[in-house]
Formats: sequence, structure tokens, C-alpha cells
Amino acid sequence: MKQTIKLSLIYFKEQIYNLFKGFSKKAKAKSLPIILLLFLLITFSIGYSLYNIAESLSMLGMSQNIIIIGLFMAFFMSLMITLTDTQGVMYNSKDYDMLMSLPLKNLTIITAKYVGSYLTSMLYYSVIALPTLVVYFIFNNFTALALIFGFLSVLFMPAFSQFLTSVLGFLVNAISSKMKNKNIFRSIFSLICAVGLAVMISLSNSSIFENLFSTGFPLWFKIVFSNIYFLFMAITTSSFINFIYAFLVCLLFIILGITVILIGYKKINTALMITKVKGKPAPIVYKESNTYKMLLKKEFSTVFNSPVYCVNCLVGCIMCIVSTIVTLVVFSQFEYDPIVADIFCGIMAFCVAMCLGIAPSTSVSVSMEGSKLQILKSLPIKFKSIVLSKCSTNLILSIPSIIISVLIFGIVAKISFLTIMLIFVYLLLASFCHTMLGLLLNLKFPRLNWSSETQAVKNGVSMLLTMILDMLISIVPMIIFLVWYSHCDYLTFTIFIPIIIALQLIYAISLMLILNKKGEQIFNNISI
Amino acid sequence: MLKIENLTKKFGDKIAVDNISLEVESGQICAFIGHNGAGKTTTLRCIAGITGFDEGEITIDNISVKTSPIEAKKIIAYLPDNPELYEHLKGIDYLNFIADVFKIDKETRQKRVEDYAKKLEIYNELGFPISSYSHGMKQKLALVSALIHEPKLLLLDEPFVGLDPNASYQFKLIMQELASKGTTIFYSTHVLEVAEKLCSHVVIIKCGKIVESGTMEEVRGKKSLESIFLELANETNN
Repeated sequence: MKQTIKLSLIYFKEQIYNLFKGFSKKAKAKSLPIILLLFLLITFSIGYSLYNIAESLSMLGMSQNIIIIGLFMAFFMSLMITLTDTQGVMYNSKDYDMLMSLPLKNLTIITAKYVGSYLTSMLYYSVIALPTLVVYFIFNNFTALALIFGFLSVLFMPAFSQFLTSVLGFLVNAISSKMKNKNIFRSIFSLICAVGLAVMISLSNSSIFENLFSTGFPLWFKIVFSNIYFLFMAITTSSFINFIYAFLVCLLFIILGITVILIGYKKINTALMITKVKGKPAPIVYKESNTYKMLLKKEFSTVFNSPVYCVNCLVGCIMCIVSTIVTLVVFSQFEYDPIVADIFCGIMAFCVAMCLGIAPSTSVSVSMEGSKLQILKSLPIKFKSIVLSKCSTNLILSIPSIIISVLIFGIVAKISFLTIMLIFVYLLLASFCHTMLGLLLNLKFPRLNWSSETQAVKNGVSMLLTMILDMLISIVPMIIFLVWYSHCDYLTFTIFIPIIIALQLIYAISLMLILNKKGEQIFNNISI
Repeated sequence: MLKIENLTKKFGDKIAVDNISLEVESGQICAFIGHNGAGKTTTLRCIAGITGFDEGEITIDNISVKTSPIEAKKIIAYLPDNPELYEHLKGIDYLNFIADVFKIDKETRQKRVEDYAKKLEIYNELGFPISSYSHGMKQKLALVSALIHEPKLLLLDEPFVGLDPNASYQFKLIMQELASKGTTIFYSTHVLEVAEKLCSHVVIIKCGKIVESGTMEEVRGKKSLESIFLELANETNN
């Protein structure tokens, strides 16, 4: 037990505390308040949105349901964010050999890793869960017990999503371990899971809430989402029994999650670490190519050979298409009106821009090099070629989803060619800016000493900062647009978006100049 | 060929390399020896342009590593102590990548790959992904990649670690052959017996400072390199 606790803390520390590993005290003191401020801003924005929803619900006498909405949001969000985390930590991690050589039981190792990941998930959860609880307590009468249950509930929340990610991780790795090209299959399976989840979330969200608010909790909901249900009951009725149920369900999910990972843990990991060499080797072909092409090839093979990185890079692209479809579904519920169409053009464009900024590949591409960065640094490769290959990778991944989103929206919403082109140009620029910002931040805050790809991809300062800043940069024009639209009769989307494009262009040029001026120096100073 | 003047490298408050100066001429094989954490790898990384340095100057064939890093890197090759390669590439893909970076034409790369890879007994494995390689095979591949452009300066960080006896022997022959053609080889090692037989020059580093340097004969006198090294280590400790 002592060993498990110690090891859990090491993992948690590795994932979160080591965000700042290698930072000088001065840099740490500078970065920490900025990150906290940005986190608070995001939490406040979420809280503000929930407050508006709760206000509408309270008019219908259903303000307590804000817990369900908030917790669902937190559940789906953290599920998407942490989908590949558990498998990244449990399977094919660099510390496997070292841990297996120690006199520790598999159960101890798995439990420690599981708890470490669980604590990290809890941090993601709390970004949505805490404002949800605050909003609930603003709109509802509550007891001291409800308050205690409410804030303790954050501890139980990741249990179900963590269990699901464990099951998915187990299945993906168990199947892939039997394949020849394991990493490619791991990435493809993980991607299929991510797409499946995104589609399921977008399709099921509205129907769940419609049923919930009209007929109460259906039995399937009580079973599947038992932890959310019991927590809801415990907080709204100050019921100790329901709180205990919630605790037991959480415990059950944790035990089940660990048990699933325990199945064939050693066998799967051993198989994953061996590259099966069947038959004859590939023919030795000497072909000349240019450095850029080779670097691009290397970047793409890095993306598609790492499930965590692959899903992380593509989740934004998938979300682009999903958010376009969701916008269209909501849009179809209104009678066609040019003003409504105009507003939805804005919502679609800014939402897609926001999704593109979730996790640009450049925000972790330097970290993913790990100690291999010394290969790039020792070769006579110009910094510009490295930048070009890393930026092209993200743009090549993003552009198809931009085209698909714009085409789907343009055709279904019947918007003019000019508007389609304007949205397209804006999204291209937005993607370009996300790419540049991601690379700049990753050069500034690389995380090169990692034991699992999850740490490089998910637990780096650059990824967090890029995501938060990209979201803010995309959401601010949307808020200005909506506020301005409601006050100015003469404003249309086709007038507004060129202004934003112009601003975006200035932003892009500024980023390019910074990268050109400071990037190489920062790159040269990275110590491995 | 390689000239280091007053090189200092700090990591925060810790001085890893403290004001060192040395010179290695063309065609010399120079062993760089020192205890763990003495500053060998840091020095090699500074020369290879991987790590920046705080003070001093490094020139390779009169090209400054600080002001013209790309030009300097074109004539060197660096082999790290633990060759982490792009595992998802095949051996031949990695060699093609390196050859492309150095703009080696098809015929030349084929000739050199066949020559070195066959000598080091890795040629038949080049069609397989690097992820299927053992540590020693990766080391061999990294060696071939370092030799593919026949650099003027070869920087090697403990190159014999992980090599089997035959590859180790072959590599020593390759080193001697390259040196006879004018290539400068500067390599760190803990295997003093090999250094003694192979190298014309030796540099001993202790706690970031050079404590002895010169030709092998000058440094060791009538003693073995091991006893000189141990004497110097104890001297500084006392």
C-alpha cells in the first residue's frame, strides 16, 4: 500500500509538477501566474455560460439540473481530452523495463499509474465541475452537508471516464499488439474511438437532455451514469446515503478499470515492445530527396506512430467537422432568415477556428523529438527547414477538415460564394496562427525528458498555453460579433469578417516575425 | 582542425566546463577521458553545436561554431553516447535522410553505405525498421550515418559501447583509415586500454577542467594511461 501511494504520487508529480521541470526560478515565477490567470479566465467563461443556462432553468423551476448539464459537459470534455492518456501511461511507456525489474507486483504498478492519471483527470474535470457547483449553489438553497458533498464530489468525478478510457486503451492495445505495424494500428484504433465518441456525444447530447427534463432520469441513465446520478441526488437532497453510493460506484469503477488493465498487462506490453520482423527485409533503395521532404516524412511518421500524438493532433480537426454539423443542426431548427443565417455563419466560423486551436501538432512537436532532438541539432539543417516541416504537418492535417467544414456549411446553409470564401480565408489564417503560436510556445517550453508520450503531449506547458490562447483568440471575435450584431443594424458577417481577417493577418505576420527573429535563438538554447 | 579557446559552459550555477582550451590537428585521433560527470559529453555537444556555450570560442577548420553553425556542422559528424534514432523509420530510410541532409549523391551514398554497413555487419538489417534493432545495431547504424559524408571532424561519445567484438575491431580499423586520410577524430571513452593503442593524443578532463593533454607518449611517460588517469584523479581529490 505504501509503495502504491508513493508511486502514485511520483506519477502525478511527473505529469503535473514536472510541467516546469528545467525552468529557472525566475521563469517559473513568471509563467505560473500567467497560466493560473488563463485557467481562471477559462473557468470564469465556463461559469458565466453555465450561469446564463441556470438563469433560464430557474425560470422553469429546474435550476438544480445545472449539475447534470455541468457534469455531463465535464464528463464528455475530459473523456475527449484524456481518451488516450491511460493507454499512453499504461502501455509502451519508457519506464516499463525499469518498473518490471523491481520487486513490485503488477497490481502495485498499475494501481499507482492509474491513480496518478486519475488525479490528473481530476484537474481537467475541476475546470468545469467547480464553476458548475458554484452556479448551482448560487441558484439553489443548500445545506452545509450539500456544500461538503458538492466539493468532495470532484474527487469521484473522473471514475467513469477513466474506466472507459482504460477499457478502450486495453482493447486498442490488446488488438494492436497482435498486428505487425502496431503503432499505426494503435493510432488508427484510437482515432476511430475518438471519432466514435465525438459523433456519439454530438448525437446523444440533445436527446439525453430532452428526456431528462421531460420524463426524469431513465433507468439506463441511472445505471450507466450512476456516479453522476448519485452525486446529483446527494447534493440536491443532502443525502448521505446517496453520497456513499456515489463513493462506492466510484470505487467500483476504479477497481474495474485497474482489473481491465491487469488483464494481460505483461503480455501486451511485451508484444508492443517487440517489432515483429516477418519474412524478408524491404529492398535497400538509395533515393535522393530534399531535406524538407525527408523532414516532412519524419514528422508524419511521428504523428501516425504515436496514438496519443495522433489523436491529439486530429481531435481538433474532428471537432471542426462535428461543431459544423452541430451548428447546422441547431440552424435547421430555425426558419430560414438571412439574419439568422448570417449569425450562424459567424458562430460556425469562430467555433471551427476554436476547434482548430485545441491542439495543433506544433504545440508538442518539439517535445515529441525527446532526446532525438540532438540528431536535428547536430545536423546542418537550417532552422527554417525544421520550422517549415513542423508547420506544414499541422497545416496539411488541418486544411482538409477546414475545406470539409466550409463546404458542408456552405452547401447546407445555402450561403453565398463570397461568404464561403471569406470563412475559408479566415479559417486558413486562424489555422496558420495556431500553428505558429504552438511552435513558438513549444520552442519556449519544450518537455523533452518524458517517460511516456502522454507526458510530452498532454502535460506540457506549451500544449496548455496554446490551447487556452487559441481558444481566447477565437472566442473574443465571436463575442464581439454577437454583441455588435445585437446593437448595430448595419453590421453583417460579410462586413465583420474582413476586419477580423485583417487583424488575423497582422497577428500572423507578428508571429512570423517573432519566430524569425527569436525562434532560432530559442531553438539553439534548448538543452537536451 | 579543432580549436577550443577558453570554453565555459554553465548549467544554472553549476559550471560544467570551466575555461578549457585545446587544439586537435588534422589526422589525429584524440581520446577525451575523464570520470563520470567530468564534462566530456557537454564539451562534445558544444563542439557539435547541440548546446550553446557561455564563453569562449570553438572553430572547426577555421569555421566558428558560434557564428556559422550550419557551415561547421557540414564538415562534422557527431555520434551521441546513446543513439536514439527515429525508430519508425527503416535503417536505409534513416541513412537516406542523413545523406539527403548532407546532399550526398546516389552513387556515393550507395558506395559508402555498402562499404561501412558491410564492414560493421549491419547491411542485411537495413531493410528492417529501426524499432526492431538491438542497442548494438542502433549504434552500428548511427556509426554508418556518421561516416556517410566522410566528415573532416568525427566527434564520438563513447562509440564502442554496445558494439560486438568484430564491429568494435572493424570500427577501430575504420578510425585508423579515416585518420590516415586526414580526418580528425575526437572521442570520449572510459576504455583506457583501447585509447592507449588507438590514439595519438589524449586529453584528460576533471570537474570541467583539463588536467592533462598532449601526445600519448608525453602524457603517460613510461606508465600506463590507466595509472596516469588514477594518479590525476587522486591528486585532485586530495
